[in-house]
Amino acid sequence: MGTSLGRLATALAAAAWATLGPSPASADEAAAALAAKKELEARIAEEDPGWRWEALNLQTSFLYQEGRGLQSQAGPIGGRGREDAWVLQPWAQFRVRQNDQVVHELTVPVDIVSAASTDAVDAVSKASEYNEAVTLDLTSTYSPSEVVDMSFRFGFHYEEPMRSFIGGPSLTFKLFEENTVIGLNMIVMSDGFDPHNWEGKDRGFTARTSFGFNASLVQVLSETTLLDASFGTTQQWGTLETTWNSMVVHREPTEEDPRTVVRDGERFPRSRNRDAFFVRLSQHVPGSGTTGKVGYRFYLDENATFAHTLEAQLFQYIVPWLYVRAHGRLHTQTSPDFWVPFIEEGFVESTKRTSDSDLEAFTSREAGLRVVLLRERAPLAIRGKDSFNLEYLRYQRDNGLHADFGSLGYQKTF
Amino acid sequence: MRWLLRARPPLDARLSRAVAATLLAVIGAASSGCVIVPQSRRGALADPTMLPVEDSLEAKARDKLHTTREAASGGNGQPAGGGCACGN
Repeated sequence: MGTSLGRLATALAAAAWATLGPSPASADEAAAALAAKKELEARIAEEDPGWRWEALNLQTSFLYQEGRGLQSQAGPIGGRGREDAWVLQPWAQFRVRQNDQVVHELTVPVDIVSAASTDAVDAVSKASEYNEAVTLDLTSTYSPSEVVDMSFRFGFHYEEPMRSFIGGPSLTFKLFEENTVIGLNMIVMSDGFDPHNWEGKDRGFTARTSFGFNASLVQVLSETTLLDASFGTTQQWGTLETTWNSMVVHREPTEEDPRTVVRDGERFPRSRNRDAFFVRLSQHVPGSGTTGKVGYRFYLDENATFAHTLEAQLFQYIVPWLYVRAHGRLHTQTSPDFWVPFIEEGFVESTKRTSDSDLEAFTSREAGLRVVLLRERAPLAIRGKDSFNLEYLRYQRDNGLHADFGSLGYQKTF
Repeated sequence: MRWLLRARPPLDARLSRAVAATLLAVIGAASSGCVIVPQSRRGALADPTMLPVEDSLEAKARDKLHTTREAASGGNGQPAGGGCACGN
């Protein structure tokens, strides 16, 4: 090994001399330097195994929800829509290494949604009660040194009746022997979709664009303590409302039309800025195999929506190769300044308005349990380079919505 | 960031400043106690339970659960809203 390294160093020095040094005094020296350079290139090519699988991550999730928050059109035409839905999410992630400096990660999330609110065609045709969405999301990372990683992300999303592109660069700096890691990224997402209205009419084509800038920090505080924080700002332009969402309009009945309630669409501002800040402290206790994490997130936007989110996680190893994670989350938000439960007939069409219960002022609570089996640390009889995980969580809002989420995951390294 | 330049109700402005100041103070206080821990002594930090993102697919799935049901997405490396017509 030492000899091999010595030869490599000699070849490297010769190649550097050939590339950067003064002109060789003789043709022999030039030929020797060129030969050394070729030898170095050959050795590098020989030692780099080239493209290879590095990791595989598979997860299948199932979610079932009931209650408000779903403005589904899959129920009876003209009715309020079904108030239950399920979502099946078979997701996959592959990591492939191209060489010692370049790695690619491809994520493919597939969503199959029943009674989807995006399926506005169902309001009139009931042609489909299901909505499928798929995304191809590729991040390629180039690591020119041990200190810097440069990445570029590119993705495409398709779902009825929408197409999206996403892309942007990111930079990661690993400083002070990787005790401090700083990440910066910019991302642009452009959506083009058919703006079905709440009656199911397709009004042509419309678009919106989101531009985001994010900064993150991971800081080692001690041998067992870690701090991570992030800040993100997003600017959006275009059609921001969900065009198929409808809201109640109260009216005075007449002899010709005795209805007291009719419906109309929601309307959002044409642009919006949103900011979020997150900070978390993680503490590991090696003696007992326990890890605790506490995080806080603050959100605000220019429509006067404020949100506070507190999350705590507790990890406990049962045996060195099996741990359990319990988590709790508390979220509270105010509504945007244009949220109203209903509007009166005769309103000005350009009035900003929404009754979307996802945007209402509410508090949500979440609790969950996750079990992870790490076969790399398991007894020899069952040892392997993979892991399994199983999770269940319950999400509940105080404005009338609850959801149950379960997932099964498998991870393998090659 | 446009909210910084706009006139806002006094309570919102006070709350924003208070939260921002508290967060900066917490990070400042935490960072001031930093020491450089050599790689050979970071075994506990390398434990799977200490990773900032324990499982990226699981994190994305949970994030999607929240961003499609709440009004407060973003700040996690993703643009807030867009992409699935339901990011609110």
